[in-house]
Amino acid sequence: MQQIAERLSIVNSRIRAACEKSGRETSSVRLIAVSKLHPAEVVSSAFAAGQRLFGENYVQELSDKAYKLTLPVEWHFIGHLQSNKVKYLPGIVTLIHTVDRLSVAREIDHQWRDKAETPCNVLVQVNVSGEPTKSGTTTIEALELVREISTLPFVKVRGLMTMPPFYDDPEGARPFFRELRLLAERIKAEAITGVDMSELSMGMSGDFEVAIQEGATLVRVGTAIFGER
Amino acid sequence: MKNEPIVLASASPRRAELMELAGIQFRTAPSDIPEEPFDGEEPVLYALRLAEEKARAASAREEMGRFFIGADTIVVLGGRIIGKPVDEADAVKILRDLSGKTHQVITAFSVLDKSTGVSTSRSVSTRVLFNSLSTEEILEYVKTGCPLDKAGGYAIQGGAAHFVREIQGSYTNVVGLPTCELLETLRETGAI
Repeated sequence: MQQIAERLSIVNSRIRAACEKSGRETSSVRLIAVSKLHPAEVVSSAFAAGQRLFGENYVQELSDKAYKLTLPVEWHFIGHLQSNKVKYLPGIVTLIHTVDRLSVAREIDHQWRDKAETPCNVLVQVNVSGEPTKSGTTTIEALELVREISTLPFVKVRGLMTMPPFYDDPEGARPFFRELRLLAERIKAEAITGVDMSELSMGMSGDFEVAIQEGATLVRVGTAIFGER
Repeated sequence: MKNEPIVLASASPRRAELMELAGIQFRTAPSDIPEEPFDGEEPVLYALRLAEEKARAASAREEMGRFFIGADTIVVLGGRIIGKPVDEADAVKILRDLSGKTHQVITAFSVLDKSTGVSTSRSVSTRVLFNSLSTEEILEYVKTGCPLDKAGGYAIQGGAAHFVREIQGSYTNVVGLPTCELLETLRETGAI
């Protein structure tokens, strides 16, 4: 378990270096330790090493871990979200990264209205590359979706999220990160009531440095911290 | 550093001329990057992305220079990007599509400060109404070879000037660089 602490410290120093390189404050980027398919014990180890923010991809796994662990950790949901699973998330997550259609946003609004006191913070997932296998709205439709979600009182759009196509060379992902930032700037310029574009969730183990250079505020790192599953 | 000339990452003689007319000291460094929209890519974002990529590509290759300008011009009709014609037949088809309608010409530009890595990008849109064009007019223009390297298959300052019935917005933007807005951005970023 010592290994997790070491790896976390390496990832954090890489984040610091990437921030320095792009003239950004280290505090402007938050690391999400992606613990999916790893046992709850690894979350405890990372917690012991100072990590507080974790990401999960599957609702069942997330709620199991959240109830098993009594540690004061913050959870983000970062996996594909089905409407019928939304009801398990209030009270557990502080941010859902993967809202890509109005029906899911409506269900979040409904569930949070019932079970929570404050609105649910969400990011809109954008399929920048247009790959048919990926979830996410297109860059053409993103603005309209954000507008529609903004009318739901219990859902607050805080920014955008994307998953670029896989490249061996992280530079390959740069245009997609850049595009997400440009899209966020464009949506921000619309000044839609109740919407802010303060978060850009992009970059994973293989490419988070490039993502930070392009403006990421949340990086989702699993393998580099917890190893291969 | 400020005395180093601005680098225009474009091979377009039209853009170079506009820069000169605006009194901006510069040199050019063409940047060759793949110009292909992603599936479902929003047109303005596509232009902004290419403008940034051109500035970045040039800054990575050039040893000298602090400020790099990248630019990309697209023609949009009915929400779709009309690219550069692939051949003469395509040019005829594009001009037929534009005939009698209003399209948008969007130029995005990006000013990159290499010393900080920060780029400031902006896009400007101009609405252009074309006359109804006869087949003869179109064929005659296509024969000049002029449409082939132009977004939307025409150049407003050349033999297609009489195709344009009306424009709303920046003229230089249609030529390839919105110079009023560019000068503003160059001043804001401290490039001039």
